[in-house]
Amino acid sequence: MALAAIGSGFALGVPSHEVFAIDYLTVEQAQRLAFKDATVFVPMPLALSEEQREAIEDVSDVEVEGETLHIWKAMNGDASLGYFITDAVIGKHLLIDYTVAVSPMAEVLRVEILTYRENYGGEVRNPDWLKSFVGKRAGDLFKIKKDIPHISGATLSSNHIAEGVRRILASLKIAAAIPVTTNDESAMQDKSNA
Amino acid sequence: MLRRCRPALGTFVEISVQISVLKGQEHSEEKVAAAIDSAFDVIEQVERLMSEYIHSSDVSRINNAVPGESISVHSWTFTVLQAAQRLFAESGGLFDIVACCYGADVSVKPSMSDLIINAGHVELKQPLRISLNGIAKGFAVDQGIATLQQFGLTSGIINAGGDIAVFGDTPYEIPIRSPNAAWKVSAIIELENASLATSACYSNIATAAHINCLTGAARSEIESVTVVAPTCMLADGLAKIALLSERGAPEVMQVFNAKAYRLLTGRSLTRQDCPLSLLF
Repeated sequence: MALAAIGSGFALGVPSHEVFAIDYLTVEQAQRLAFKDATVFVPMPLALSEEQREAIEDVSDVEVEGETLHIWKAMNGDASLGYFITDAVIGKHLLIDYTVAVSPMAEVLRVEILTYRENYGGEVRNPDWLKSFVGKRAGDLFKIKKDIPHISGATLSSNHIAEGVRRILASLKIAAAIPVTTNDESAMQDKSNA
Repeated sequence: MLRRCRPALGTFVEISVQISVLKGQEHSEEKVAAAIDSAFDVIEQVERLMSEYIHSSDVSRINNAVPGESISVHSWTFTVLQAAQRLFAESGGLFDIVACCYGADVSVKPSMSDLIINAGHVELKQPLRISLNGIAKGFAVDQGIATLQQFGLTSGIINAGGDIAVFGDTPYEIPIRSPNAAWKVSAIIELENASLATSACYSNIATAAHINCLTGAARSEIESVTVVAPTCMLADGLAKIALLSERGAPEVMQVFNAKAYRLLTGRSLTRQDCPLSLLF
């Protein structure tokens, strides 16, 4: 897939990488799993002002890179079941797409990985180069290997997902005026069990 | 193949099930998805009980208790503590859920023998901390597998950041990473109705879990040890023992019906070579 795009890596003096991606769920599938009784998902994308982004960073202690939070309101008729948010964070080197489903009181109901991507061909030497592709599809940039086996060895930390969830909860509170209930579970654990 | 992944236990937990394995029932993707959901719920419950980073967990309550206080614990926590006690005894103190919290300082520090474990209750002989990080992840995987089986599934695999369990008739080939190059596969182990866990001293990571509780020494060689065992909890705990012990603790492996494989620096093992790395 997308072999031609590898050249963009060479152009910047970065060696080509073999990347693997596992697609677990589509956004629609994840929505259905999270809110089985929903009759409709109303998109309500939330644009974050610079002031809001700063406030979110203060509250969550996590850097805010995106300017829009992708939120859907899960509805059953007139009743609100909660909110569904899609987001992406850097895993070890590449983006991981994930979703967070929260109750109307912003309690975390479920966190699910949509697409997991990882660098296969070696370390990325220039993280800044990768950063410039945040938000772009890995398939446009790399040779993608699918159907990756289960590997044992170095444990990969999910800290960045935990940080992402924290940032999303802070965003809901600050920018969407959704009251956030904090508890151990919704804060998620923030340290590696490696 | 239905494959799902959630962040849990500090890592990524992946559950995979063949859709055509639901015993005696319509091969319903929805039912398999429900089984996977329940397995994730169970794994998250283990995390809530045994994570030292969650204030309400059994482990946190033990860590905040005063000596002599009777601390009630969930039956699952009791099961894991009992297994930890057995691993502690069989390994001559090498596996120690208490001492591992105190790092390399070997001057007077508490050990697992300062923990009194009764059914449903725990008591401390002196102030101490415990960490179940070396064993609870494996237990969570076992509970996840049991849940999939309760739903009538006949084959599947759970991978919690490299702690892997498979059940059913389908064998899985599990690549073992090179300890020093995260994505270089150095060996492949075929797994059928069994579990494995890998423990390693990566050159750039020093964690308390890999420090010898008896001597305070960290294994300096860059190597990894993979243990294949009947349960993932045992594989998880035994991998630490095999890594820390000079000779890989074959006698301990034997007690638990487990096998330990070791990867040494610079060695790249093919599947054919793999048995060569068997420690005993």
